[in-house]
Amino acid sequence: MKKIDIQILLYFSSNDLVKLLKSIEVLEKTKLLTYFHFVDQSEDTKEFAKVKEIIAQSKKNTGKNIKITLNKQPNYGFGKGHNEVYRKNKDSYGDSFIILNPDSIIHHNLIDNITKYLEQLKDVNWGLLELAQFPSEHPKYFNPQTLETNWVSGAGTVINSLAFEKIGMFDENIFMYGEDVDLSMRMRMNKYKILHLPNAKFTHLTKDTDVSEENDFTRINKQAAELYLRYKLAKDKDVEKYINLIGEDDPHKKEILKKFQEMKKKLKKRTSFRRFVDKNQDYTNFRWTL
Amino acid sequence: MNKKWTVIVRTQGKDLELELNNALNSLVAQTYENISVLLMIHNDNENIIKETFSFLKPYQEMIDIKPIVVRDKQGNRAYPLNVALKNLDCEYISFLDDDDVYYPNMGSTLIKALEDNKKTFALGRSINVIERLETNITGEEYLYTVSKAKRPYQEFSKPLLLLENFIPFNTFILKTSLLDNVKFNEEMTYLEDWDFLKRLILKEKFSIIQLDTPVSEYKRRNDITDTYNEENFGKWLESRKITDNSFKNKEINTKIGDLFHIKNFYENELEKQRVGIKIITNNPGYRIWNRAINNKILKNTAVKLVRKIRGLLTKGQEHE
Repeated sequence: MKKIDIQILLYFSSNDLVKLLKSIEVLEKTKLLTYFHFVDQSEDTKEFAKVKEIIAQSKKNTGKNIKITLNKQPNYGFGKGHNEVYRKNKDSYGDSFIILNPDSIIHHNLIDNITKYLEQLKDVNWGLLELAQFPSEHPKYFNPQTLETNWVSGAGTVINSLAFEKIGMFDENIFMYGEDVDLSMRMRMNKYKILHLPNAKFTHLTKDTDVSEENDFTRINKQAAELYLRYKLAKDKDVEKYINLIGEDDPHKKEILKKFQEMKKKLKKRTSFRRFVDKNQDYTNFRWTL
Repeated sequence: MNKKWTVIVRTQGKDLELELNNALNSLVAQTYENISVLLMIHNDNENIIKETFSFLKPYQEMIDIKPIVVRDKQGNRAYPLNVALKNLDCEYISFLDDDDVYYPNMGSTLIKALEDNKKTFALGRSINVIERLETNITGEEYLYTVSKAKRPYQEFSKPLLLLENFIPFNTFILKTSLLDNVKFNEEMTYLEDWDFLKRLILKEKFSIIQLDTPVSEYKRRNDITDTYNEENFGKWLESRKITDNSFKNKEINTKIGDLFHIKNFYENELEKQRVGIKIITNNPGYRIWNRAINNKILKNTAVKLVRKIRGLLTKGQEHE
C-alpha cells in the first residue's frame, strides 16, 4: 500500500475543523502518503471561505506526506455526498479508502495502525473495516476474537473500493442516517466480512452519550431511515412493528412517515435479508445503553 | 482567556499504548481551552522513564504536558500526587489515573458550574466501564469493553462521605485555593483519594455544586490490576482502617437529610447484593461450577469460587 485517501464531508463544520486539522499536522511523521479530500456541502459562500482560510493556515504546518484538497458540491446528504467524492477521485485511489466525520480528532498513530491491520487482514475477504470511536465507544457488539460485527458506523470506516462498487455504493435514497447500516447489510449479503478495528481509534466529538439531547432533525431522519431499512431488507410486519413503536402521540410521527414514504417510492427493489431482523434481536445488537 | 486548569495524571509508565494513550487522548479532546497536564511518572527504571518521555512527544504537540519523574517511594500511590501539588500554578485542578478517561465536556462543564455558582468544588457523574484483555485474529492485544453503565446518582452528603467512598477520583474539579495545605496520606496503599476528599470537605472554604452530567469513565479490569481483587483486598482493608481512624474524632454537622442519604446508600448497596445473588443462582454456570468442585483439575479454582458464592448467599440470607 502506497497511499491512503480519506474523504471528509463538511456541512457548517468550520468550528470542528481546528482540532481535526491540528491532529493532521501531528501526522507529519507518517511514512504513508495520506490524502485528505475535504468537500464542503454547506452551499454557503461565507462558510466555504472560512473553511478555505482555516485549511490554508493548516497546510503551512503539515508534513510533506500529507496532501489536503478542498472542494465544494451541493448538499447531497451523507451517502450520495460520499458517492460523488468517490466517483470524482476513484481513479487515483488505491484498493481502499476511508470516510471520516469532520467532528473528529485523528489519533497520531491511526494511519500506522490502519496500515498494520490492512497488512494483517490481506487474506480476509473484507468489505468494511470500522474505526474505533473514542472516548464514547460505539455500544454495538463485535466478536472480541474474530472482530466481526453486524454493521459499521459511517463516522469512520475503511471501505474496500472493489466491494463498494460491486454492491452499488451508498443508497442515495437515504439523505442522512442509516445509510451505513444499509451498506453493511449489502456487504454481508455479498459475503464480504465486516470487521471492527479496536486499536484504530479516533476521537469522535459526539454528544451521543445522551440520546435525549438529539434534535428533531436527527430523530426524524433516524426513525424514517429505520422504517426504510425494514421495508428494504425485512418484511411488512417488521415495518408495522416499528411504526407501532413510534406511538400515536409522537409529535413527529407524521413527518417521519412522510419521509419514509418518499424514500420508499424511490426504491426499485426490496431484498429480504433474514439476518437483518431475527427473532430475538434486531441488527443493532448493543452491548449497553446508557 | 479562560483560567488555567491543570490535570494531574499519575502513571507508572506501564501499558502505555493500552492505557496512558487513552487518558492523554481524552485530554487532547477537551473542549475547555487553557488546559495543562502534570504527568507524574512514578518509576525509578530509567528505560521506562525514557520510553514514557518518547511516547509523550506527539501528545505534547497537541496539548501542554509537563512530565515530572518521581523516583522515590515506589509503590506509594499518594507520594507522586503530593509532589504534583507542590508544582501548581493554576486556578483549577483535577486528577486522572492513566487507566481512566475524561469525556470532552469534563472541563467546560464543571468549570462553568464552579464559576456560575461561585463554588470551590464541582462534582459530575461517571460511567462505570468493565474491560478485559483480549487477543484478536490479527494477534494484537487490546482492551475489550464488556459493559458500560451510569454510576447510580448519589447526592452529595458530608457525613456519608466520611463513612463511604462514593466519589470516583476522576469526577471532580476543584479550585486550587481550596487545597490550603491539604495533602494525600502517604501511609495508605489504597483509598488515598477518599482520604484526600475527606480532608477537603472539612475545610471552611469547601462549597459544592453537583451535576448529573456524565463527565468521565471509571474503568475496572477483571485481573490483577483491579484494586478490589482478592490479592489486594487485605491491603485495601488496612487502608480503610487508617482513614477511618484519622477521622473518627472529627466533628461534623449532620442534618436529617444526611441521615436519609446514609440510609438510602446502604439500602441500595443491599439491593445490589440481592440482585447479584439472583444473577449467580440463575446462571447455569453456577450449577456447573458446583459440579466442578469434585473435578480434580478444576478443584482449586472451583472451591475458591463456590466458597465466594456461598459466602454471598449466606450474607444475603442473613439480610433477608
